[in-house]
Amino acid sequence: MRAASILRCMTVSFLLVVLLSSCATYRRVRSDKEKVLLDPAQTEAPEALLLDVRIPVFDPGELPESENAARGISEVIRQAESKYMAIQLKNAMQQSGYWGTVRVIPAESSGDEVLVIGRILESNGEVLKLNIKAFDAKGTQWFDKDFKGAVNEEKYADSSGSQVDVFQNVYYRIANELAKHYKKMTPEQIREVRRIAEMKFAQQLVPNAFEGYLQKNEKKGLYAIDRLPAEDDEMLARVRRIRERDYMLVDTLDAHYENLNHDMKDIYTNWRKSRLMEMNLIRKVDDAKNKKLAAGTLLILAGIALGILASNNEDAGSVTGPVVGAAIGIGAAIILQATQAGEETAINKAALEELGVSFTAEVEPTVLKVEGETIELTGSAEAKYEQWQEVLTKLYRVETEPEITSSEKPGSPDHEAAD
Amino acid sequence: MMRSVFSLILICITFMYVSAYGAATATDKNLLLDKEIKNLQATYAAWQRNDAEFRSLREQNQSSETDIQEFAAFVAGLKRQVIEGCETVRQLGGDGNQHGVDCIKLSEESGDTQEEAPTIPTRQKTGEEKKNSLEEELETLIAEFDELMLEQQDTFKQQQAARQASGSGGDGQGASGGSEAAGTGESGEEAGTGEPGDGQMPPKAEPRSGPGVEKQGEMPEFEKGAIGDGSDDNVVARQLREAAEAETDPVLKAQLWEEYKKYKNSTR
Repeated sequence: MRAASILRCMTVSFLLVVLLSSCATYRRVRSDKEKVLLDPAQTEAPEALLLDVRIPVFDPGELPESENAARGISEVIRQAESKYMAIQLKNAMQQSGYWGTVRVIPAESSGDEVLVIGRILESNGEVLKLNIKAFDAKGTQWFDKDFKGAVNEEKYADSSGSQVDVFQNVYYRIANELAKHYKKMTPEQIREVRRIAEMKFAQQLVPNAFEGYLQKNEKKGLYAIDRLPAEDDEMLARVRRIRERDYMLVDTLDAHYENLNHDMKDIYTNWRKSRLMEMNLIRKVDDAKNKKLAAGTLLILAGIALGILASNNEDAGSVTGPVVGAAIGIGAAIILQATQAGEETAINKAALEELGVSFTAEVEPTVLKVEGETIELTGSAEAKYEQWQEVLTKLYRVETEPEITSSEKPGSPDHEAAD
Repeated sequence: MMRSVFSLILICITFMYVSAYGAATATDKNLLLDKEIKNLQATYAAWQRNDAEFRSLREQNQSSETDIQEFAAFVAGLKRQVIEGCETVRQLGGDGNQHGVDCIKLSEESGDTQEEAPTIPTRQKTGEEKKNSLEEELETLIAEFDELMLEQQDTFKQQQAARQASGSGGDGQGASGGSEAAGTGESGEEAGTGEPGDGQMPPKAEPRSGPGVEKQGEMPEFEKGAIGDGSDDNVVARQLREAAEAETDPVLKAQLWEEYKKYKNSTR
């Protein structure tokens, strides 16, 4: 009976210790031990077999629900990261040498040969988790996967002054995954993707002229080429000229994001590094606090157990009384000390918050500037596209309708259109 | 009373002077127009004659290359003079078409219908003319877009210059440079940097083969840098450019580009 009471008491105390030890603000994360290497193209592919890639700025995702995880992270920071990370992925892909032009754009558009869509799932300076989906112009989804990486303070120290992002492992993993899918494609499949992309662009620009060239399997969402215009088709030549302008626009938009990358790189890295340091400080304080709580609790429980034992042994009562009292008292004192250590954590938490506020204030003008510039540029381009669409549609009518209709009917739409 | 009479006399004198000046100006303008039309007619006739002769020589393929080059330069120069003459006459209120010069045909050849100068307003446009007019409109829109992109590029260049001036733009590394690649045996992270040059313009969309490729109007490669994209062309320059693009004879084509360049330089 007595033994059972003691055992119960010890079990309760063990559980309490475990519970207290797990009471951490930020759980420890194991950083990546291995360095991911980029899979480079072994040979230079002919231009006709290169696919252009467009990466819309990443979806910033949701801020963490937990108060601790969300501390010092703001929507503005996520907005900045959504552009910065897209640029990092672009750089990794360009380095691999598998691709044509890789560009970051504000949003997905028609005529993309390969589209890489990213979403930030977690980003706190220590862990980066991204969801990446990749599609080709045909509509085939290459993959939909999460990519995660974790770093420690040493990693930041090692890459100090380097142009390499501390989470390069993550971007290289994604680039390697994309290359893996590209390598599986046959030359004919690549050409098909390019033709479909061109036809999709042409269809959007002059729907009447390019109707019926592509077929879409509504069920699977896949495009297939039904027929193609002649290589010397006048309208196709015009569309290609305009597509060149689309490339120019995309280049310009990408340059804006490159500027943002340049402007925020240092402050962003500093913020992530400082954030991780504060998180580690909080962890240390948490560890010390938990240890004290466990020790104090154990002492109190040991005192209680001893008291139970002593109550059953009348001889020992006079001796154990003061010992039990001392154990409980010291245990309580240690627990009190531990709770005071919690106040120290509060200071670090405030520092973490302050870091976020400060970085937000620093990066917000840059983000707003780039967003303003890209919106303005996209707006101007869209207006121009509409005008091109209008003129091309009129040209299509003039070219396809009989001469007699357009020249002898002054009130006809053609007449008005061409005049 | 005297004052009123004096004022009246002054007004009358002024009116007479202005009328006389206006009449003289109008007469001068008419004289100038007549002179320009005569010049245009003469140049047009010379161009027609020499162009036909040049093509005939090319078909016979008996002349030396130097002769052909010189002849082509002469014909291209004449064509430029005709295009300029048509525009001058139009600006003076005349119409070369009514004086035996087929300015419309010239415009059609060069893909330009002179939108600003409706030559025969009463005539209904043919399908071909409508098409040309729309092509011209498309060209204008493309030129406007190119101008917008050029402005952006200028802004980037300025930003880059400002960065370099402030000493922060020197970290640009080629996008394709030094990839941290499997099997390279490089251990340091720096070896794997390859971030595109910060603050630099990204490489322009590389010309590509296959779908989506623009042939750049078959402009000779060496010309691209020297003559720009034509976004700032005026009517004459655009007609010259289009004439050069449309020309099938390679020698004459090169000479037309030369004329285009000369004209652009003269208008700068």
